[in-house]
Amino acid sequence: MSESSVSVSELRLRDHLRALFVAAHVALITLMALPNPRRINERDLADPALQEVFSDWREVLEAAGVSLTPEETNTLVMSFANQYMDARAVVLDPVRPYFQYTGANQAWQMFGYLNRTPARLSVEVLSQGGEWSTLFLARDPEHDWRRALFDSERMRGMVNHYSWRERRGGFRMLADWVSCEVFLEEPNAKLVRMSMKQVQLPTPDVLRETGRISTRRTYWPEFRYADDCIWIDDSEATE
Amino acid sequence: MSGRWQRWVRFVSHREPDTPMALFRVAVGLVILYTHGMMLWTGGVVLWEHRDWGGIYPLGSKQWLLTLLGGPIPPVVYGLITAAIISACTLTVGLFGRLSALVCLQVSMALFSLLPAAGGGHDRLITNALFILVLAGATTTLSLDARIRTGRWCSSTPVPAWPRYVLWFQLCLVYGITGVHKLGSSWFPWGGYSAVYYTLLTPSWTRYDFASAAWVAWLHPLTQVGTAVSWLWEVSFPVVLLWAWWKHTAGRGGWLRRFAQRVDLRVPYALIGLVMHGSLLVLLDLGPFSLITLSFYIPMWHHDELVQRWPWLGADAPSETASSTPLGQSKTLT
Repeated sequence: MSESSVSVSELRLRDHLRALFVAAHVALITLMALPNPRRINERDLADPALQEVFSDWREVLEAAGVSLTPEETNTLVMSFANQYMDARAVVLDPVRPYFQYTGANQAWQMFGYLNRTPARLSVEVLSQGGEWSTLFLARDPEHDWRRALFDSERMRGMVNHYSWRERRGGFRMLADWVSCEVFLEEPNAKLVRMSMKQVQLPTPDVLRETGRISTRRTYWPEFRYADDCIWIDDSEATE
Repeated sequence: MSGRWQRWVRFVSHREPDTPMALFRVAVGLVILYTHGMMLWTGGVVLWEHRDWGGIYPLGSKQWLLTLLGGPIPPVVYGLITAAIISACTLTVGLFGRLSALVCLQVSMALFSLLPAAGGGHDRLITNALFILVLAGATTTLSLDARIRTGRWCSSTPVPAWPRYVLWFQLCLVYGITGVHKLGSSWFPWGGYSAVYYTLLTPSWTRYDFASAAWVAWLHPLTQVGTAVSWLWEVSFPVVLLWAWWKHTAGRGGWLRRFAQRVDLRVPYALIGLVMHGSLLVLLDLGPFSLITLSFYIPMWHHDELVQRWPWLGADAPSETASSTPLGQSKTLT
């Protein structure tokens, strides 16, 4: 073969083993990278963002002469996704240790479909005098308490789940931690409220006209009193 | 079948100078320094500490190194971050060969396993890169190891070329699959090519404040172009790998192979990638995603091409180059 500098007579067992390993590695990372829609249940199907995707694709299929009702779409998607995931598991489960110990895991997805009603994390505090004030509101320079932490990429990653209304338990734990940090820094604080402020992302025309993104509603309000914090004595904790 | 296998074995056994992989090593090392450095700088380490020890969440990683060290308690987490930073430094300067990559890989895997929900594709790209660097070493040139061993910074000593091929394949795989995942109508004409516009307004990712968001609306036509181009570019990126194959097998003839000899497809794809990732870097906060992805571009080029463009990369190199017709080598690099 003219493409390689290595002649057949030079090939040794080591070369064959190397070639076998590279072939297996490439095959495995390809299989692992194939789309992973996750197992889908009724609750997933109720996601408005997902239903919007289905609706758009139904219109496209309709134009091509294929007509599907929302129920048929849901059944079709759930059936296909779950059968596909079953087949994927049969193939990939035996080789998961390879990915686990080498870090060669693959799962690529970025902005697959968008959330047009995302939410911003908000931290508010009630003073002993009875006045509410905002300590932190994502993407607001006037309320920037602990902004470095909240703007850090991994914290944004966690808050993004809450923006999709996922991981409610984690949100409560974040509220526990945030409120205790507030009470440590603000002796006059009586009550802390952490919530998600949902916005409706405006169309370009609306944004050009109004110049702002308005809050639509607030969800997941979590209230914490100072008594809710369990103050750990460092000397005891290290024993 | 035997003939095909032999061709594959010979292809994988090809050797070439280590320069692209050495540059890739440096880039990956710097990205890891940035990744872990930012965790310390922003106070984000609290996400990697167990709730019982001052952290936010009850972390339950079963990663072997964490289990061995006693779990996500502050001394372990800070120790692992320190080890990651030190090993990233030695990886960057090319000291201790594969050991640096191995330590950095296992330590980073332990840290990333603590709260996977907070991570992203960049964590996996980093560990994938480190795994290949463990296998490749990549310290034959542009490294302290090379300086200590040979008294020179640069060397053309041939090493196995397959790690470079695998990284190239991986880049095409990542982009191709990412493109396939984009099923939302906002990526298509019937959704008004609005994906980039709405992404720029998403509070979890956008870098600027909402008070000044109006400019996004004025750039709407540009975001539509960006949406259409980036989807087509991503989903068609694997064609770069086909181009490499056509170029590599020029002797077999055909118009595609003749086309591949004339046009270097890597250049337009890399330029679009630079613009796209540069824009992401400026407008969105996606952590080290753009930086680690761009690192994977380096292995698309062969040592000879890099030295032709930047001769200092081959300065003082002993003349034992073993490249013949390496994958990806192009006559022009403009």
